[in-house]
Amino acid sequence: MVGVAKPVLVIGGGIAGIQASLDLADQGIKVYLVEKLPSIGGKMAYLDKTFPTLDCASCILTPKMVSVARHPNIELLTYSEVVEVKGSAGDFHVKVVKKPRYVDEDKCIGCGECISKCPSKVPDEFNMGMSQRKAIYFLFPQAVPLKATIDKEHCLYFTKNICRVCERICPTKAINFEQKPETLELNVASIIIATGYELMDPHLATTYGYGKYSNVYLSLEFERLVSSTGPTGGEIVRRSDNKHPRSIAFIQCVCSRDVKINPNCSAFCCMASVKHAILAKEHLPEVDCTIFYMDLRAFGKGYQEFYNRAMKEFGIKFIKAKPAKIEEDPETKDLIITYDDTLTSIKRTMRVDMVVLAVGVKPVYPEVLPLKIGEDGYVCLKDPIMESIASTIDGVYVVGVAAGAKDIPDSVVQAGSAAAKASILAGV
Amino acid sequence: MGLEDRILYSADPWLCYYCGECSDYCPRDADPGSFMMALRRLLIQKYSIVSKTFFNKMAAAITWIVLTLIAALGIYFFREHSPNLETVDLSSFLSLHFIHDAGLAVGVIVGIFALLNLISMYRCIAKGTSYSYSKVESRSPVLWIKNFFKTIIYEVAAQLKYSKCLKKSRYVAHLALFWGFLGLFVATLIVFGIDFYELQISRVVPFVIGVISGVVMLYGSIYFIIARLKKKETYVMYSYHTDWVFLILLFLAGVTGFLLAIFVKANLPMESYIMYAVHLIVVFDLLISAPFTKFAHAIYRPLALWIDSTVRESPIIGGIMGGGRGG
Repeated sequence: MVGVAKPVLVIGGGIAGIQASLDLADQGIKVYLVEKLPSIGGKMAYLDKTFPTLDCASCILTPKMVSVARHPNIELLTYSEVVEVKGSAGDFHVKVVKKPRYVDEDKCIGCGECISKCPSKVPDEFNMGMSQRKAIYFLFPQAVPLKATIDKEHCLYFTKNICRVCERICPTKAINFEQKPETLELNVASIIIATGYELMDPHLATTYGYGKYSNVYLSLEFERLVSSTGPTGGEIVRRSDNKHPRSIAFIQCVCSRDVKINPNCSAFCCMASVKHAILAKEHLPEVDCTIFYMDLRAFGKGYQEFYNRAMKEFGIKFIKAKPAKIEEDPETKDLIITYDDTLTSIKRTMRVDMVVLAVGVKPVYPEVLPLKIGEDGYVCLKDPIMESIASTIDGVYVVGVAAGAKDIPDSVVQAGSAAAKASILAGV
Repeated sequence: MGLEDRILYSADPWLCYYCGECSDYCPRDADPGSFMMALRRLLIQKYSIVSKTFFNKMAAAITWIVLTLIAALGIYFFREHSPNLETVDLSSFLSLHFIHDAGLAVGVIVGIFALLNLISMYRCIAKGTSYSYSKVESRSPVLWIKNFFKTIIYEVAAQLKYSKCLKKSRYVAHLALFWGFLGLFVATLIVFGIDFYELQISRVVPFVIGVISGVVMLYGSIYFIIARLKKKETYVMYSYHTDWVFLILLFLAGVTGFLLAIFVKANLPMESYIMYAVHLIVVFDLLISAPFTKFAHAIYRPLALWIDSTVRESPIIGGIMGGGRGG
């Protein structure tokens, strides 16, 4: 039957989209993998380690990303977006717009010469703005495909009509300022949505002072801070004075499980913060780590053990409290946390050098599909128990955080499951 | 939960001004602000058994009617039988001696009950602090006296803690109610002084104080009536009947007072006498019930703040909080 199967479209190139694409392609089904950013990898690419095993995240992810790029059955459409979907299960007609990179992907060899010479500096979104990249850039060093992209907003040629130094320096003459958006029309049997999430706006937690106090961090910022590919090369230092913190507080459920902002549990933050505290201890054995939690949700296999290990082996303190507010000492830039200890009912304050906010997630899904969105903001499922990856549209599957907050192992399992369902429609 | 004693013996509910921020920020919609308000309603009833009659809707309605009838009948029986109908002369309607004696009687009754209630409250809190490390009795008298004046100046006169609430206009309105009421009270005392104790002050002084205070108090009461009708902010989302009665009485006292002044100036005898009677009834209702209704917070809160500031000012952290917590 191989050869007559119809292609499948996967939207989103994070770990779930990657896994779904590989599982389909390995069955001989042609896959179009559409990713809106210049590289696949998704949020997992930001991570230093994964819980509960503390495996190196990029050591797991990067080989899979490379497999996607090299797989004969996968057509990788990065820096692209789905703009139209018509038809029905078994016969979807999809329009995809490929945004111009202003770099010829066939010619670019990823040498990075252009990047080293580019004079325009921009905050690096991959490092959460904590370092700078150039206007021509790779999203991150292990980007797949390793093709340079020009950021039109900041390129001196596009903004001031000067420079063009990349064009001169490129050894393969890959720079093409004339590139236009390109529309592709695809005919696919099934669609898998793996569009993941964005972080909630941390400014909604008005009493925590994110953006106002320099030593208040987001969990993803902290993740970059401990990463050897991060802005400080893996040194945990404070934004205010570049010194190692002597104490770090991790606050859970920021913009999560809060009926005023976002009532949903974001599922992975508890374990992610336990991991952050352990990583902080591994980097700086003298640091005091405290986790402020509402309920510590250690539900998965090996998670309770991970939590126990954090307490016993690493001496991390856990306080059941949702802090009321954070204030900054204007001189030292230390942070003073006011909280009511739920277990003792006593109001206390704690002074720490650094605060990390475990900010909740907000699902992302393609607007072009007539998906039904639940009251919780996630894509509705046909049946939450027996059809937990089927959207309300026949032939359209939804996996990963777009369908409901979850961690990496669960996203990978869903991806494989959706690949199996989609292959039925593809007609292997 | 069997922890009623902990609440009864705590000053904490009185330290809360119900700015409502806790309820706004609560991630679980637990509404701790209105819980504290409910505690204060409960405590007013616990400190004084008489208060219960004002907090049960049915009993309150009957009590208010009875009080109003007492005042009305009192005026009816003690009125002068030939009031001056040519020009306004309030003393030709109700004799100055009646006003003097009735006023004094009300003042003494209210004063005694207020004192009894305060003693009852003090005994409760003193019991509560015996749970904790620092007992109320263990503070030095000098500290007690120092903090008494501090409380009066900062928390009663200026209400500085209230000013920390985010909404400043609400603080101003509350201050207006307080100072307006106090101003009217002082103006009345001055008139009393002039009439009975040969106080050498021009009648213009109490009149000016009265007009200004009346305007200020009306502003405060109208502000809160509108806020409670709009229900936009957290602290006015749930209005209890005791909140309404207190506000409306304050408002009516102000309005009838003004109308009375206008009628007197316009020389409308009959209208003036009727308004005078209505005004006196409202003021009687307001004052006689003060130690038992929401009005009582005006005595309970300062005492709580005074005790709290004195007990807390010690090297032992926790103080009154240690005993009072657990609700």
